Formats: sequence, C-alpha cells, structure tokens
Amino acid sequence: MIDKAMQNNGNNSSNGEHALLEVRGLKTHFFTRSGVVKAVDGVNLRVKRGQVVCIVGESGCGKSMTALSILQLVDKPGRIVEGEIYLEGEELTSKNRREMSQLRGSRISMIFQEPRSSLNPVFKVGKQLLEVLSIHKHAIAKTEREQQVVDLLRAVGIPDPKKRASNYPHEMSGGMAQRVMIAMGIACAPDLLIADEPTTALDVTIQAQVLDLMRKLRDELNIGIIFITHDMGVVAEMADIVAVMYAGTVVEEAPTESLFEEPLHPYTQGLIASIPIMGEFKDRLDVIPGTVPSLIDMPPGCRFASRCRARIEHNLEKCLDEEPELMEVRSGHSVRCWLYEEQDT
Amino acid sequence: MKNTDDFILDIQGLKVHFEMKGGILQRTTGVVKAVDGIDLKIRRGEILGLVGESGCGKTTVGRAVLRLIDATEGEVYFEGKNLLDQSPKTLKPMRRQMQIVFQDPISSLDPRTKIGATIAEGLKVHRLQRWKQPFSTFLALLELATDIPLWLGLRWLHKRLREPAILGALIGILGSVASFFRALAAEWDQTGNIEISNSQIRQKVLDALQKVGLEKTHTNRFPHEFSGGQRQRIGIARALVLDPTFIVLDEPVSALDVSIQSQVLNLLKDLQQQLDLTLLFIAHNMSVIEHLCDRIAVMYLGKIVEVASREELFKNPQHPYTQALMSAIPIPDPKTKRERIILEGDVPSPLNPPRACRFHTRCREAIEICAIDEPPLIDIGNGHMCACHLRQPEAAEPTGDDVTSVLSEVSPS
Amino acid sequence: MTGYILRRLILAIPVIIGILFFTFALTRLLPSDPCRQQLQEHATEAVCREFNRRHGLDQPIPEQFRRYLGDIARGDFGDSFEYGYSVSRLMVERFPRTLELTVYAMLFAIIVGVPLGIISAYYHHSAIDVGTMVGANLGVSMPVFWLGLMLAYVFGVLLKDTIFWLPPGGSGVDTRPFYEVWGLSVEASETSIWTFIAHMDTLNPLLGGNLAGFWDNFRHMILPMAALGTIPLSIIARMSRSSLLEVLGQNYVRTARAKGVRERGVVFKHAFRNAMLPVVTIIGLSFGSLLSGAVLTETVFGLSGVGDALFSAITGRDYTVVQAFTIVIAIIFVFVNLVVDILYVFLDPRIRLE
Ligand SMILES: Nc1ncnc2c1ncn2[C@@H]1O[C@H](COP(=O)(O)OP(=O)(O)OP(=O)(O)O)[C@@H](O)[C@H]1O
Ligand SMILES: Nc1ncnc2c1ncn2[C@@H]1O[C@H](COP(=O)(O)OP(=O)(O)OP(=O)(O)O)[C@@H](O)[C@H]1O
Ligand code: SF4
Ligand SMILES: [Mg+2]
Ligand SMILES: [Mg+2]
Repeated sequence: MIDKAMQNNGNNSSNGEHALLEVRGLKTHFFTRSGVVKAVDGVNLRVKRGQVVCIVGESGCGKSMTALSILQLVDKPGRIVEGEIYLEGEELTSKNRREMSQLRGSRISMIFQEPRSSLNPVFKVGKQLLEVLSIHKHAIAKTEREQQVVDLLRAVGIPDPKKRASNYPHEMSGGMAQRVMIAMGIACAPDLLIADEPTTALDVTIQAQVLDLMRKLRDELNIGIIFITHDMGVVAEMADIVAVMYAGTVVEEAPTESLFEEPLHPYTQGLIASIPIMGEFKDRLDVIPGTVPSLIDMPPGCRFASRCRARIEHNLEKCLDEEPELMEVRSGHSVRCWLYEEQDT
Repeated sequence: MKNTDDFILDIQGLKVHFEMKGGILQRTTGVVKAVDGIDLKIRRGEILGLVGESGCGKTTVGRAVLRLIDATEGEVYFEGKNLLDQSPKTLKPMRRQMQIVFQDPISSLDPRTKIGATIAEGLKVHRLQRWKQPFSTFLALLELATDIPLWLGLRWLHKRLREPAILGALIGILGSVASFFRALAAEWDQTGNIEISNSQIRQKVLDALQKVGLEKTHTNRFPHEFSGGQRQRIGIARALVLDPTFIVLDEPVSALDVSIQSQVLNLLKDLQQQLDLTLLFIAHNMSVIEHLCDRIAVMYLGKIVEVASREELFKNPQHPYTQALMSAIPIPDPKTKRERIILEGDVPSPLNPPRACRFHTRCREAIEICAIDEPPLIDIGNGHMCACHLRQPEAAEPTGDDVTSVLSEVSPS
Repeated sequence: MTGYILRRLILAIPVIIGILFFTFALTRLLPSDPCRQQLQEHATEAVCREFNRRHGLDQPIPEQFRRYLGDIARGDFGDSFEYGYSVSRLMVERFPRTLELTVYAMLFAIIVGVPLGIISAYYHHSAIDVGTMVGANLGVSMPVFWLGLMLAYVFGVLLKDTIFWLPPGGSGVDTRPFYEVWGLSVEASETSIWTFIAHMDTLNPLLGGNLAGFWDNFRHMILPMAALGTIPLSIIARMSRSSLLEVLGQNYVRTARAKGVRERGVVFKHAFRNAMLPVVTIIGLSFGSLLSGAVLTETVFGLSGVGDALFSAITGRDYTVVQAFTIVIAIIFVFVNLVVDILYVFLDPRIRLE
C-alpha cells in the first residue's frame, strides 16, 4: 500500500494532470479586537486521488482552519486573505455561495472535530443523515434513501441502527455521535473527504473498524482523504503522506515511512520523541519545552526558533531573522528549516 | 504506599437506565441500560482509568457519580456519605470538592462568556449569587413600583390636562428612568461577562491557563474563538482552578497533540503526588492510560469486566474483550504490522443487551455456559479481577464478587 | 406528560391562594373604606353600618377571608359594590375586550418582531441591522401611555382626513351576537360563555359573518394594539436577533453548510428552531406584563375593558372587583407559562418534563 503511494507521489506534478486538491499559499486570518490572528499563514498542500494525507501538529496550529478554508466555511471575523485552492483544476475561492454549496457534501465533505456539538440538537440523527442524501441524491427513491441511512449507521458500527436513527444527539454517547458524523461525511461518496480528528472518541476496536472502512472507500472509489489527527499510531497506519504543521504553516512534508524513519524538522523530532510508547512506562513524559509564539505577532524568522534546540546546537543566526522556505531535501521529503540549507550548500 | 482502605469513592450496584421516548405523548419505546450494575472503589490519591467500547456507559458512570444525571439504582459513597441520598443543600459543599471535565468541551462552555470569566466563575460563584438574586428581585419590584404611580398619576393628570404633548413629555421622562433599570436588569442577566477584577482570582486563573499551555491574552476570548484542543484545555483549567479533591476526566486529552498531551499528563501526575488528588480518568488512548493510571477498569456494555493494576493489565490482560482491545491499539511505526483480534458479529445494543455474559456474542472463546450464566467479577489471583467463565483463580476456589479483596494488592510503585 | 401537567396545575393552587391572600390584605390596608368611597357625602354612620352588614364587612377580617375563600371555591366572586351586580357578570362584560387587545398585541409583536430579528441577525452590522436595533431600543424605552398618546395624536389628529386616519379612541359599532346570527336558540345568560364570546369586539362580527362590523372594530384596535405591542415587539426582535446570531455561530450550523444545505435552509431549518427557544420563553414572560399593559392602554384609548373597571374599583375600594380581576390575571399568567413549558418540550428534545 505504501509502495503504491510512493509511486503516486512520483513527479507528475509538472505534467498537465491535475491533483485532486491543490492548495497554494493559503492564508486565513482572523481580524479580532486584539489584533490579526494569523491562524493559517501560507499553507501549501497537495492531495491526489487514492491518497491519504495526514496533517499533524500542535494544538491550535491551524489544521482545522486549513480544512475549513478549503470548504470556504471560515466564520467571521475570519477570512481567506490570500491563496488559491484547486479541486481538480477548478479554483474554489472565486466560487460564489451557491456553487460552493453544490460542491459541499457531494464532492468535498468534512467530518468535524467536535462531533456532538456539530449535530443539530433538535433533530433526530437519522433525519440529519437523511438530509445529506436528500440534497445530493434526490434521484433515489425516499425509501431507498432511508435504507441507506440505516446501512451507513451500521457500516460505522452503530448497534441497532434502525432504532438509533431516531435518537437525538444528546441521547448518544460521544463516540456514537462521532460515528454519525463519519457516516454523514461518507454518505455521498465524495471525491475529497476531510476528516478532522474523526476517531478521538472511539475505542481502539471501533477505531480500527472505521479506519478500515475509510481505506476501503479510498481503494474502491479512489477518493482522496485529508486526515487530521494527533494519534501517531493512526498516522502510521493510515497515511501515505504526512504534513506537519506548526503555527500556521507546514514545516515538514514527507511520505509516512520516511517521516517516521528520519524526521527532519526539529519540531517533528520533538513531537515523535514525546509519543508515549506502550510497554515503556515512564514516570514523566517528554515534552517540547516552551510555547508557541502568539499568532497575533509572530516574531520574524523561523516560527519554531524560540523552542529549537538544534538552532542553539548548530549556532544558526539566520533562524531569528529570516523565515526558511519549504525545501525538498530528499525525494518527496521537504522541510522548512535552515539546518538543511546549511547542509546542502 | 497508599493506605489501601482509604476509599474516597465507593460505587455499589450502580445502574443508570434511560427511557427512550417517542411520539407526541412521549411514550417510552425502549430502555437503554447504559450502566447496569457496577461496583467500583477508588482510593484516595489514586488515578483510576476507565476504558471500554464506545457507548458502553463510561460517561454515564462519571455523570452519575457527580449526580449530574439521576441513577436508577445503587449507591455512591463519597468520603463515606452516600451522594445519591443528599439533598441539594448538603450536596452543594460536596460538589465543590468534585469536578468534571466533560467529553465535549464546547457544549459545556457558555458561548457568551469570555473564558477568563468562565474559569473564574467557580471561584466567585458564592459571592455573586448572594447578591445577584436579591438584586434582580429588587429590580423587578422597582419596575412594578414605577408602573403603578405612573398609572395612577396618568389618570389624575388626564382629568386636568387635555394636552397630550405635555403629558407625553412628563411620562416619557419617568418611563425612561424605569426602562433604564429594566435594561440594566436584562443586561445583567444576559452577559455572564463578569470582569475578573479581584487580583487574587485573576492570578489563579492565569496560573491555571498557563499550566495547560494557554496564554494570558486568551482570557478575553470567547469559546468559539479557540481550536478544539485549546477548548479542551480550558475545560481542564476550569476544573483545576477550584482545587478539588476528586476529578472525573472524560477523555480530557483526546484533542491534544502528543507534546501538549504529555504536558497535561505530567501536570495531572504532579497534582496527584503533591495534593493527593484522586482522578477517574476515562480515555480511549491506551498508551495514555498506561502512563497515567495506577489501576484500570475495563467496561463492556454497562458492566465492568476486568479491573487490574497497570502492570497486570498491560502485561497480562485476561478478559477476552480486553485482549481484543489491546490487540487493536495502533502502533506509531509504519513498519510494524500486528495480528489483530477482529471482533466478529454485530455490536450488541444496550437497548437489548445479550443475556448472561454480554460479550458471548462476539467472543472467540465463548463456550456453552457463557450464554446461560453471567460470570461474576472475581479475583483471579493477585488482585486481578475478571468476569469470565474461562478465567478462574489458580487456587480454584472462586472468592465471589468481593471487590475489597482486590484492592488490598500493592499499589503501583 | 399528563402527570406533569396535573402536578403543575395542582402546584398553581397555593400560588393563586397566596395571590388571593395578598390582594385581599392589600385592599384592606388601603386607607378609607368602601362605604365612604362609594357613597361619598351620603355616607352617614347608620348608612355605612347597613352597607357593611349587607356586604359582610362588619365581620372580623379573618372571617371575611374565610367566607371569601368559600365563595370562590363555589365559583362565586361576589357582588360589586359599585355596579350592584355580580363580579362574574362584570368580568364577562369587560374581560373579552382586554383579552382581544392582549392577543392582538402579542400577535403583532411576534409577527413583526421575529422577522425583524432574523433580518438584522442575518445582515449583521448592516444598515438594516443598526436601524432595527436603534428602533428596538427606542421601543423598549417608550412607556405604553406615552406611545399610545403619540399614536393617537399622529393618526387620529394630524392625519385626520387622510386615508391613514385611524380612530384615536373608543370602540367600533355594536354588532349582533353571533349566536343570534346563526339562529341558535341558546340560553345566553349574562355570565355564559356565549355572552363572553359575543363581547369580543372583533371575533363576534367575524363569527357572525359581518365583515364591515369586523373591520370597524378592528380599526379601533389597531392603535391600542400597536401601542401595547411595541415593547414586547422590541424585546422579541432583540432577543431573536441575539439568539439567531449565537446559533448561526454554532458548530451544527457549520455542519449544515458543509452538507450543502442552501443558505435559506440553513437559516430557516437548522438555525430557526434553535434560535426560537429563548424567544418562546420571553414571549411567555411578556404575556403577563402585556396583560397589565393592556389595562393601561385601555385607559389611554378609552376602551372600556378591565382597565377601566379596575381603576374605578381601586378608587372606589370595590374590594371584590379588585380581587377577582387580580386572580383572573394570575390564572392566565400561570396557564400561559404552562403552555410555554409544554411547547418547549416539542421544540427542544433535550428538555424533559419531570
Ligand atoms: N474566531 C477566532 N478568533 C480568533 N482566533 C481564532 C478564531 N478561531 C480560531 N482561532 C485561532 O486560530 C488558531 C487555529 O485554530 P485551529 O482550529 O485551526 O487549530 P487546530 O490546529 O485545529 O488545533 P486543534 O488540534 O487544537 O484542534 C488557534 O490558535 C485559534 O486560537
Ligand atoms: N440522555 C440520554 N438519553 C438516552 N440515552 C442515553 C443518554 N445518555 C446516554 N445514553 C445512552 O447510554 C449509553 C452509554 O452512553 P455513554 O455516553 O455513557 O457512553 P460512553 O461509554 O461514554 O461512550 P463514548 O466512549 O462513546 O463516549 C449509550 O448507548 C447512549 O446512547
Ligand atoms: S529553522 Fe532554525 S529554529 Fe527553525 S527549526 Fe530549523 S533550526 Fe530550528
Ligand atoms: Mg482542530
Ligand atoms: Mg463518553
């Protein structure tokens, strides 16, 4: 599977063929009372059909906002201030509301991070699920759509799906609500599925089942998946490509194996080092010391500089003055860090 | 070593059933047996992990223990007093010692309150309520009181003055005074937007925020202006700021990246060690459970199927469900592939749970008796409790479902 | 559910008895006494003794209260000192008009207020929004009398002889009782439900098919309705706006958009019902103040409803009338709030009546 991904990842970016999704220089800022919060600040991303791209990164670094920007669902006072988003060659930021709403749910769909609050509290979950089908698949008979709702609920592992369809969201457990969200996301077999931490409330057995389901969708329907998660175990299992984000930008992008084998960016290294490992009990877990600089006034230079040990070890002056570019250091493995420029030259 | 008999919380035979209602008349159409008879004891200063299949009733246990929902049956002793018997008045001081971090942080945060005030709320709730209540009553009375003389005055004036304009001006002035107070009352009720003025409280709030890795400037933001993981940390900060002795943490770190997750876990561990804090920690991430918890209880469909110390459970999981659970843990290394125990069969529903052993419909090892008799939760040696017909204590003789015997085992070092 | 309703009704009984006691005590505490207020200069010692005896006012106060409770339990509100006939009859004569006025004002407030709130929430921070909210803030701060007098002045005096003229006071033409029009041979006693309905100024001609009569009476209702409805309208508009604004920022609204629901569906299907929850509560609460406001409005527009009767009852120390009207208002208040609570269950599945 990973081999396949590696092949897909080959250099066909220059020949005319479009990737499923291409995000270029995306910037989404929030214009708040206390200043401009640069939640997403120059993100590039490519997803091909049949590929799972995992986004990992510090809490609050702009993963969800990147996803919402793709769907053009950023609420005020937030706004996409720069950048282009292409879905199979079509530019999305210039589309109007109506065109976007036709795309949403059918060609791009999203599984939201906080499942229970993402379900409408006054409607039964079955009805909410049915709505997606009614909007995009009105050609199908109603009874069949209703059957599909039950089938979808069963597919995501909800017991007694027929009865559960008439539950209100507050009558479900956190994990059940999350599975309803997943069912909603895959209902219309979209071209691009964006899953924002879709398995946080699931136990590992059901998580495994859901991950299998997604992989199956990817293989059978050749869809692209953006998978946002904090669980490095899930990343290792699902991802073809991993993008590591930090403070609004992508700092490293690499095929999964390459990333786990040799993480290049000091942040990624810290992140991987702080994964608690099963069977190796530690009284204190490792953390990356320090905190992210405020997104309102980001200091110049590398965003990670204030916490970077490598910078001190290698005595890099540049880090504090100039922001590094994302550069391809190895085949398919790019990183945004001065450390590697030094090595190249 | 901890005093093994000092139980801060003792749950006995707890059942929570929900009626599913339908139709216009809200008739009962089924009963969800979310928690169906569990016994559990938690020692003072212990971190007890609660894991289990999604929807098996973990959250419900946590909420029932804090009396946020009503238990159908059973007893919950907190510091020796049965919580379920307390009147609202006697419950209140006990509530202050117990906190909960909710699974779904955004639903538990008031969207109109800045988070600084949200966190401070618990600290000042007493002082506030003492005069907020009489204040609004006073305003209501004032409103009434301005209405009556206005009305009588109007009648009186009406007889003498026929010029509506003069009258209008007079009453207009009086009316605006009344409505000014009315508006004030309405504002007061609407915005829980209390400025954190007291410097001591302010300092506590900032400390709590900093401990969970958030910034000072975050205090005057509203909940929807945060990322999912940031909101989750706000929930933790809110619980910690009150210095409780017992906290139910319902999947408190599921939305955090590993570094911040580790930071929060270290913090919880420090608090446990320094303040003898007791935690009921619900989570799905087994490596988190392993690094934090002293003892772990495994639930399946409203019942506890296994309780053991950390070392025991991870080295030597006994119940077939626990074994399946362990085998499904994803490993953060793309090159390792593991043999996974796939659970066959439909996931059973708490609306209509299987008889006898609830796991028998999906258990690889199930034998005839599993569908006939319910296995009791018994000590199978070394204080390892398990509810399975195939797991009997080495010394043959089952000890019955005596929970205390388990707890006398040595606590983890 | 039925159990809940019963329990609420039973719980309302002590509340109503409390109110009864309170008004009873309050009327007795007023200076002067009924005899002197009613008969003025004719009130001699002897006449008053007879007056008090006839109305049972010579008894000790606890005894009076006991008797009064007994009468109420039998459905007898007693006789008015001033009118000389039963309070029930007075109620049937006066109450329908007040009730109609209240209901019209409420409908006016809802029908205008909710859409205004929605529009300003949707076009948040636009000129429409700012305009509406300035209007709403003015609206809440305008007392009923003042607004009433201004409306009467503008529409009744300034706009006289234009098509915008509206009657500044009084009520419309008398219309034939609808049961007579229907040819029903009902026994319409002075306190029957038939008479009660026939006293409704606009409902009666409507039932009787007399459209001209309806229109005339309705026109007389318009200004009082606008005067009375403005405060709740402003409150409802403000509440709908802030509630909808809050709901539009909720995660589930984003989910609806992500599903591909069109804007109209997002607002009217997904957000509307959630946004209306607090508004329904406000509507229930403002019903009570509307009733008391109706009393004031009648005074301004010279409608002879409860307000008129209540005012003269207070000045005339007509104890029975004051007490009876207070209880009826209290009962309606309790009832409306019960209806709101039940409505809530249907709007919000998270609420359970237990
Ligand atoms: N309405 C808003 N106003 C101001 N700042 C905002 C707003 N919404 C989000 N942010 C900020 O934008 C940043 C990015 O948020 P985002 O939700 O994308 O984070 P995330 O990477 O998904 O984090 P997590 O893993 O915790 O969910 C956060 O720092 C957050 O505080
Ligand atoms: N208010 C309610 N009304 C009806 N059923 C409910 C209610 N709350 C919970 N349930 C049901 O109780 C069962 C247990 O739910 P609970 O939230 O305790 O599960 P959980 O173990 O926390 O699961 P998860 O890991 O998914 O959060 C579920 O079947 C759920 O549908
Ligand atoms: S650019 Fe410099 S500061 Fe930034 S990660 Fe690389 S070494 Fe560290
Ligand atoms: Mg997020
Ligand atoms: Mg839960």
